[in-house]
Amino acid sequence: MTNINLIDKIQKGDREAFNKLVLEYQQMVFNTCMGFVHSKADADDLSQEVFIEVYQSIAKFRKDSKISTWIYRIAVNKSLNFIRSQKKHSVLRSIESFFSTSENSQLEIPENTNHQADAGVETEEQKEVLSKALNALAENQRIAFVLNKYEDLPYKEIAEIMDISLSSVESLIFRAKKNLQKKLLNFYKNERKF
Amino acid sequence: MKCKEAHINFTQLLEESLTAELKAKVQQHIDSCNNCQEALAQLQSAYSLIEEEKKSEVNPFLLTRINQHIDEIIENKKGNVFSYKRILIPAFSTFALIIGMSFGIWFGIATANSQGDNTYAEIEMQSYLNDFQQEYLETAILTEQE
Repeated sequence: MTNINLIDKIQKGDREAFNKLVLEYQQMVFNTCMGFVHSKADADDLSQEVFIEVYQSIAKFRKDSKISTWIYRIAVNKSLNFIRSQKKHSVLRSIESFFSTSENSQLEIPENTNHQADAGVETEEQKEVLSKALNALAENQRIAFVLNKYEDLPYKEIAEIMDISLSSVESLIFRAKKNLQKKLLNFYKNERKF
Repeated sequence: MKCKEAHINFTQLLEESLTAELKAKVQQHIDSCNNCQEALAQLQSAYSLIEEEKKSEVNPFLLTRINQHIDEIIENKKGNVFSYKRILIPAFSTFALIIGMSFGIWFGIATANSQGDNTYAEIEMQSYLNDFQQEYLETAILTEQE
């Protein structure tokens, strides 16, 4: 079944066709979300939201671009909105902890309570460092980088998704890689800040 | 080659997109510089993490969860043909606004009317505060003296 036929069926309310769409694009959506949030659980939740958005908005899909392009856009927007809301929540949490007394403050039990310097703890720290370095990039650079590195998309397709020129994509990815390297190396030089 | 120049080429070295000549120069520097070796290793581990994340598998129950959620949305839509929330909240807000404005206008009018009692006191006070009146008084005293 071609994608156009699939879209037509979904627009008519065919759930089987929608299920096929999900199965075809779920890994792609998951990888994209993973590139932004770096957490399997969050990427799962986001993937679910993306496909629900696809289902609810399928009537608005104009078929002037590929269905994958449209789904990528939804995935990127959902991921960025999630990151923004996480930032707001972390600001609120830090304000809350500032005003809470020591008796009332909740203990945060880390996921990995093994305090020995084993590979698992080190990997988690490296993941956090990578996540912070990527989140410190400018939004457009981050989008272009994630689509290129996590989805291995060609520059032409990234340009279609981001609705920018090919040369802009090249420039964004070049700057993203340069800035990411700079941030990572600065961090590992014991500056510990981005 | 200095460290700074080598660092510029690290990402391309990892992506194997350097020319053979430049690659050889960068590699030569790295082989002789412990700091650059460490920096490159750290960068390499970051990029390896990206490759690891790419291998993560999507949740096998994703489709089931999506369908459950969609079923709930369809159920909710059927149940609430007419959503009272959409009407009540704006209506209440408009009503509260009208009440508030009416109260404000009434209060303003009431306050303005009650100012009549204080008018005489105001006029009296004005005579003490009015410099022009004092001038007339001074002039009157001077003319008297004359």
